[in-house]
Amino acid sequence: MRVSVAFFLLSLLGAGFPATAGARDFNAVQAKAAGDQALLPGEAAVPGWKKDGAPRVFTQADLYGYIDGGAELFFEFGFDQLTLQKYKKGAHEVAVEIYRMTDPVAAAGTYFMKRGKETRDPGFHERHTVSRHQLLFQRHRYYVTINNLGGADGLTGDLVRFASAVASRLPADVPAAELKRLPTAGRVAGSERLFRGPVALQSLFTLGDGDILQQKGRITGVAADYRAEPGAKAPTTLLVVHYPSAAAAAQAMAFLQKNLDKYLERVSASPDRLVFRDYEKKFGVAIVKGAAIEVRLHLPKAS
Amino acid sequence: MRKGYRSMQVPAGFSRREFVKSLGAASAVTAGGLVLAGPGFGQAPPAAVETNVADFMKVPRTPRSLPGLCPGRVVKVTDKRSLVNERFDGKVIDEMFRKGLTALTGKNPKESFRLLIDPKDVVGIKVNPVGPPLINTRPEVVDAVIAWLVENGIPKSNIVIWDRFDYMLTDAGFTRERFPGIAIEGLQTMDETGNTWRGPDGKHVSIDQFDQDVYYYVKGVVGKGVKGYPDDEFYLNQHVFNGEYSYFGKLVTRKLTRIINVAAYKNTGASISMATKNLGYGALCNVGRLHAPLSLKASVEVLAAPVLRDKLALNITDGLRGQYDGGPDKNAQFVYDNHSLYFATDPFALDMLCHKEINAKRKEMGAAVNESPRITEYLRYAESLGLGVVADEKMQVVNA
Repeated sequence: MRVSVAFFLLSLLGAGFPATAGARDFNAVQAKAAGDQALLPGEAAVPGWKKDGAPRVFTQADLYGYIDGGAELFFEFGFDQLTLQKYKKGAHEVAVEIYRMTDPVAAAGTYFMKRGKETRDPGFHERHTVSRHQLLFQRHRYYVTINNLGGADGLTGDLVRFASAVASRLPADVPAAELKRLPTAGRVAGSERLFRGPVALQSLFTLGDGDILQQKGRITGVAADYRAEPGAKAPTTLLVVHYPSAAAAAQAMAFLQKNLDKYLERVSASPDRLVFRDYEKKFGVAIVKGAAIEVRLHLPKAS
Repeated sequence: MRKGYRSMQVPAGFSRREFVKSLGAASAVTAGGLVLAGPGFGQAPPAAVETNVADFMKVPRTPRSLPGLCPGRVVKVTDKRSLVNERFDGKVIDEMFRKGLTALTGKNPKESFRLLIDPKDVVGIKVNPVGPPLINTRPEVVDAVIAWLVENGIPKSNIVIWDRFDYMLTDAGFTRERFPGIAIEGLQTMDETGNTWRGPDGKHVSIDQFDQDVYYYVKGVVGKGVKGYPDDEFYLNQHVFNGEYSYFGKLVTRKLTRIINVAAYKNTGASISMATKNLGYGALCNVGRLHAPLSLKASVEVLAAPVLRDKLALNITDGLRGQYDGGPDKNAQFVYDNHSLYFATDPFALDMLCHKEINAKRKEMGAAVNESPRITEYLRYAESLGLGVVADEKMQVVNA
């Protein structure tokens, strides 16, 4: 990527951490260090590896250039900046990417979208997934990727060492409270997702165009798959979006009903309940429950 | 009043006067909504967007126009020897290329050449360099294409490997050293620092590389205040222009006479970023403005432009590796060895098959799958314009 941008570092001074005392202190350290370069592993952290060039910092538009077409997800969740440092050992090359998101939920949401089926290394204790090519993990408001650029075999241990070095410099994690809105019974492990808008939501289901659940980039929804009901083959999916008030939830339901996707057939509707049949002849049910909307998808029956 | 579309040449049987007159005629109105990026938060669904696709459609087709020689036909060649322990075998890939070509046209590679290319052509090979080293177009596939072109009489000096950005080509291994005698061209450059992209005249240094007579027009959609860009200056750095016009590269409009589109095999969100998008967002400038209102529908309309519609000879999707989630940039977690190359003259049929395959892979791997018809609506739109054949009952899928 071709955009190094020293002047953007100035903008980091205004980047806020979630409002905890420790976080504020940490943020101050960050500002003085002109970004997240202080989080990068030193050359002693992983034996044999040397830094290859200076770290690069990417913000906002830079990210569009860096990941070309994949940046929307980061922006939707809330992106502050990316710090990138390459390391070399002989012919091998590793890139450490530290994505500082706006808050821990944004980082967790991004990680959930990127993790796939987690494969873990017993030597690394953060929530993570690792393969020959890449290690991904999330802690606090940081989503971190360690990339084995050449794909050479035998470097997984070093990827873990790089990740451990970064993790040791990050604040303690803050689990996403939204996940507690999901019932645990029957939940398919590893299927949990967070979403703040159409980019993440569309990977799950198309309820309609644009910001169909009226999340406005601030309200976090949560989703997971649940084991198939008796007599059904496929799992169902539950989405839960909790709004600031019951009135906001009702407004969002009205918007959904008015703008329901053209490929969904309305079966029945009342102000607080919508039943539709989808393109696979399965059913969906959206219900207002107080300040929340719950949407169940891929149901074999409308009830 | 907006400008009319100008093709490279006035089509046969069409006087210059008649041709120019037609350009001021009605434009098409296309609905947005194939949203990957979507409209702004809290906004209503996108309104209809006026474009100049109707002008494109007025230009008479040629025998070479899309969907080309084999409408709706897609050939898949799989060979597990092509990728073993992270090593790509160029010899096997060359065999796969020739096998695929033969299965596509029903003729041997030499006869296939005659059907698709003229020895006098200047051939552009459009690659996808995004996501190296994991999920970009592999140089070994391009080697096979070049070998076929050269042995059938195309001099190396008449072959160009190209993409929109010069630096991405370098990053993905498409260099003069790797491909001696072959031109490597980006349609534009983008300044690393964001500070020195203007030339002495104050204009973008790449401005003259775009043909301001040949463009895709979208009324009211401009590159100003586009979400994700800190300011309009940066947008200009990355997109050269920021008005209602996206100009095609002069390489495409003036130099190349045939195009071979070699896409990578990967997703973008719930959709794919393969043949349609590789060319539809890669042959012109000022495309950042198009994502939210039109997304892949813009790619279809760009491919309807005669400058592409009548030059695109062959599409190859490099599925030696695949990425079923986390795209379009590389995401190793979702990359797998797929050992396959896909061939079609019809890019939309090709994308329909690959979209279904990617969804099947997502299911197999337990990833979220959105099978809404909305996601493939752009391909049916292409069929409605007569550019491709994507209906199940009309497509022919051949495993060679």
